[in-house]
Amino acid sequence: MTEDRPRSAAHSLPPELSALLAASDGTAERAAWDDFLQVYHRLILHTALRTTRDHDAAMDGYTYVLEKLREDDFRRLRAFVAEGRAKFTTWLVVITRRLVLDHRRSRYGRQRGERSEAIRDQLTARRRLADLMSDAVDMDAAPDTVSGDPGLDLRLAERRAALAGALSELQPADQLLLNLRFVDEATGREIADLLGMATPFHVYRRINSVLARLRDLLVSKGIDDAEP
Amino acid sequence: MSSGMEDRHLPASDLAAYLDHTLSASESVAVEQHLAWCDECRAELREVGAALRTYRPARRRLAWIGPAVAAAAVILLVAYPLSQRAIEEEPAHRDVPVVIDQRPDLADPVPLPDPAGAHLLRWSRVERADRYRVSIFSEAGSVVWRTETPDTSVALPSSSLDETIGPYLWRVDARIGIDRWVESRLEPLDLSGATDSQFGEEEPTP
Repeated sequence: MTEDRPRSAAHSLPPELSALLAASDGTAERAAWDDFLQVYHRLILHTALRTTRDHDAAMDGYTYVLEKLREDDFRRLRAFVAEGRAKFTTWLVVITRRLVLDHRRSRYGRQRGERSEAIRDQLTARRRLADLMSDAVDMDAAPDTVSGDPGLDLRLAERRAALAGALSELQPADQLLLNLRFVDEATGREIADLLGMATPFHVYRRINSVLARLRDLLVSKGIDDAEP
Repeated sequence: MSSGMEDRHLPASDLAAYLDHTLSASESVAVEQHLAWCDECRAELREVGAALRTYRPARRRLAWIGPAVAAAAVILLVAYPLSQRAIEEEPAHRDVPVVIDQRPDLADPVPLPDPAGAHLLRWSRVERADRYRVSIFSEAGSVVWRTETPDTSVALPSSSLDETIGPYLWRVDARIGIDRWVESRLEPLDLSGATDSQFGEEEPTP
């Protein structure tokens, strides 16, 4: 890439959406809404079912999504048109999932184990990835234990700090790649789809290259052997 | 790009555009920076990706299908003794599956009469395909250029690729239904100027 510009051409607006937002009176709007649903109701329902895993809750969520899409003269759909950077189907899946989750939380509260809305403690995630990466870059992993030997514990803590520092020096795309693979345990195929890489082979080759870079960074920080 | 991303979760439009690879390079970096350390947004990215991958839209209903099926049923009843057919054949509860074993074949790019060095990328037509998505990848596998077209060729502007970074690979996906695509083979993109025409006789399909 030679310039900072979008990597793809802009997507054209689906005709059902254009017709809906251009409807001039109530009758035309109702007809356009029916046409819109004819095309997209299955996608909305599919997303609601994947989000709740419960048929009744999904149907409630589906109804809620339709209500919210129509709200304030299709405010959300008009916002999509104003931004217009993604495919409509992709945007619709994101919005549907968020609305279904909002609806579920408003009715049933947060489910056990669901994370709070507050910002997650990013240091925790950073340490978790650092611990997982210890094996990958051939460092001793002793994340949450103490050895009883104060000297050894100190050296392990130093190594973890060095690894966390090395991770933060990687490109954001590489940090994301490592998190997807090692924290989320996503497959090569899934990562290739999400990050727009050609094949899983390219994903694994990139991971190997990033791990080599991590090892180099550790060496540059004075850590060049596995034994603490 | 929405501001304040470091304090909140990703806006829906940013997440969707990242999945579609339509953000600029700097926007992508900002989104990746957030995604790398926000477990919730990363989970959302994976869930939305999975929802799109697993979605199988229904075929559009055709207005003439009802009368046509009725007419076919009448013909069947008249032409064949029903009892005999019932013995000979299993009842059919499902449509005959549509098998598409055709893939786009990539042809050598042709230099266009453009002093700036644009090239024409070409591929073979796929039956039932109404759209083609052309992707160019870096050797590391990242998308560096992507576009969609109803034709079987597209002009690649010279400014799209940095020749000092190559080599590049390219692939064409043909859309044969809503969110149903068949992929060509992934092949090296050779812009050295080959002119032999595998598909030169074929008119672009509208």
